Amino acid sequence: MLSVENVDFRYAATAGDVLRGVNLRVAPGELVLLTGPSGAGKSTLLDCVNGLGAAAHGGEFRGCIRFGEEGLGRLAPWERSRVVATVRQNPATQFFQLNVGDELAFTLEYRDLSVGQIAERVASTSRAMQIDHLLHRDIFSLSSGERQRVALAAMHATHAPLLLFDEPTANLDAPATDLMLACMARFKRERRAILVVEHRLDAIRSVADRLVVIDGGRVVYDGPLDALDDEAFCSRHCLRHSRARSFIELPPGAHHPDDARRLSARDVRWVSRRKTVLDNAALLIRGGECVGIRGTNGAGKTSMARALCGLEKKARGRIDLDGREFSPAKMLGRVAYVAQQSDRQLFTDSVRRELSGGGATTETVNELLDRFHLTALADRHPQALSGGERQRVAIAAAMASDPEFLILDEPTGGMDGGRFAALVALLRDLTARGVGLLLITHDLELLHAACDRAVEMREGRVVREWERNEFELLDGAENPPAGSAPKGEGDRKAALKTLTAGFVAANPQR
Amino acid sequence: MSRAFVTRLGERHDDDFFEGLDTRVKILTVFVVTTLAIAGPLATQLLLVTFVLALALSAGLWRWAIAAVVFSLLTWMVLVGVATRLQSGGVEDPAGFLVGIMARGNAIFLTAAWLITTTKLYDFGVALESLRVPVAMTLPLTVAVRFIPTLLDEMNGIWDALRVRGLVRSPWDAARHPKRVFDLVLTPAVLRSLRLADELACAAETRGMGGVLRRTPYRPSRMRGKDCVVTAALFGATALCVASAFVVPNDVIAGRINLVVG
Repeated sequence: MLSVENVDFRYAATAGDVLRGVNLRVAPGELVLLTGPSGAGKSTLLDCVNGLGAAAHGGEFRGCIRFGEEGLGRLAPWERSRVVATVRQNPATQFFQLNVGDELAFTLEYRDLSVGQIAERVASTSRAMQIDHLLHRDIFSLSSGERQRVALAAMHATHAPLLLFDEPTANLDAPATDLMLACMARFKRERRAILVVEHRLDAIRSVADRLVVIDGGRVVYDGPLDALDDEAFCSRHCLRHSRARSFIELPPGAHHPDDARRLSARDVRWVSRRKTVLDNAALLIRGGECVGIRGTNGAGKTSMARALCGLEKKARGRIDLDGREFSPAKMLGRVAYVAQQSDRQLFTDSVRRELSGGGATTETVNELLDRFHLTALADRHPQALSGGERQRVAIAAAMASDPEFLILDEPTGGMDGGRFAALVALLRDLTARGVGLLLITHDLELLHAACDRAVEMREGRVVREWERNEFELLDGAENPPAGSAPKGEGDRKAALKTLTAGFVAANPQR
Repeated sequence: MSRAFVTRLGERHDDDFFEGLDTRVKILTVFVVTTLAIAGPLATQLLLVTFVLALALSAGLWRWAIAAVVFSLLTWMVLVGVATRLQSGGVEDPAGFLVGIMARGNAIFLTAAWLITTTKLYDFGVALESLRVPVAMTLPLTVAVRFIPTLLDEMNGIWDALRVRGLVRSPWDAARHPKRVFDLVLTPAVLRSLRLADELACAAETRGMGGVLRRTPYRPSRMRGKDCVVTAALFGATALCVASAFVVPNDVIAGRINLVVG
């Protein structure tokens, strides 16, 4: 059992304690869901358990962390890796090798095992996780779902009894999330103790046993998951809704779709390295309307957005903007785009300069600062702001050229309830001002909260569309692309069942 | 450096003859080719360049081979042109000069390209460790190469953001205002790289790296039958080249080349 007792932690660079007297227990075979507002100390707690807290970030640790009878507090991260395995939000930066097989073996090579033992462990893990066909592949050529599966396999290979997950589903589509949950359920049956930090609670609560909420560095709740159904509790601690709500109402008259201003794409086609990424895709967004695109990873959502704003020169087809026809290559600068990593899009040394960089007048900049609640931050360095503030600056900078249409790619990744509500308010304000929005998202709650219409992309095409009054049909509608994975909900469950059976076959001793 | 190159560094094709060679044998190949190209007799140069071209083509490096030939031709033309302007007689032996550039330069370049593109990053690190190169040298090399794809992703993302915000329209724009573009790119590139490098380092630590235990590579460097055959062939070729220097003097070969090319 993991026991965290009276843990305080303070980073070297900050004045106050990030964790204050934290107590927590996770039993073998138990999955504890750890949530709370951004900056509350959740990831810091994970880093204290896996040893990175003081070792990598510098800081002062007080208290006691034990796993079973073994005290972890004084062990270095590499020593704890025998007991603790961690999966982080971004698989791209947790892989240390360029090849899947080498990656699975990486941790084992530092375990004093023989070559034969390592090879056997790699083989059994790849069988259990059904990634035999990926073993020789380059890590960077894998899809998001495959990467996450490799990350889970690397974790599984260690046979570590304590597993930590830091926002593991933040960037995953429905099938990949299902796979993650199936693996977690399997790990529970293997009697491993599991601690998961997560903001998106709708999926994870199906496998969680207990809820722990941290706010202001303290554990403010430790108990059953039912607390997530309490609206007041969730609001008080800035938690996301644990179920996507089709009853979320838009304010009356919030959106006024304007048929006179339209951004429409027809027959958009893009073939990259002999793979058809966009296959005669068609899409319509009207001024003052918010449209959500969903679909599995690799369905063509981001490619469609990039074609609409002119970033894919090789895309072919026709795009109409307010009645004028353009080829995709000529769309550059006509539609605003905010990518998921907003810190890639901030180039100057102050928020004010960031907004005026494209040639906006002083009046426009002041108006934007005011509208996006950035006036107090006008002279701060954009890269020194919090994640939510950086995203606001990126959206404000995109709006500085007064575009009629704005595209946001996965805007809610890693967002707590407070930031989510602020983003929704911002999006509603933009649509009320007549801006047409296109949101690329796996987040059902965002679709319910902000969109007038939703479309689904599959294999490079828009295959389905829902009006707002049909949004209750959205739940569970996201299927994997045909050919690359099983079709339909039933088949997907069958695939997960097979995966689970694979674990048992590869680990008969468990 | 393209994404395809990174894929080559990661993706394994163990059934491929050259990819399956022990990395130490490949390093020996580069050493032998470089030595023969620089110090070997002229008689063996054409043989050497044929061997290296075959090696490069077997690894699918035909674009690299064409680029190398074109580049060496251009270099030859420029150097001969400059020499003709600077001194009345120009280059004393332009044909020999061409053969020298084509044979020596391309042989070294293409063998190095072959080594890099047919060797997995993992295998290279293991081979260096087995050659007793200190970990303090092999680890930074591995980390640096591992960081390349991440950095490429970042630079692509930053470049797209610049274009979509209208701050830079095209590569031509960047060429005309390099300082402005450099200033814009610098902040996100440095800060993102530091953040990602930090995440990578943390991931490595939590997975057992940095401890006192010696690493046990699960794909250790191992000399197999084909490695021994290739090593023997390399030594044989070297011996043959040395012997040929005594049989056919350089000036005879040079005269033949001038007859054909000149």
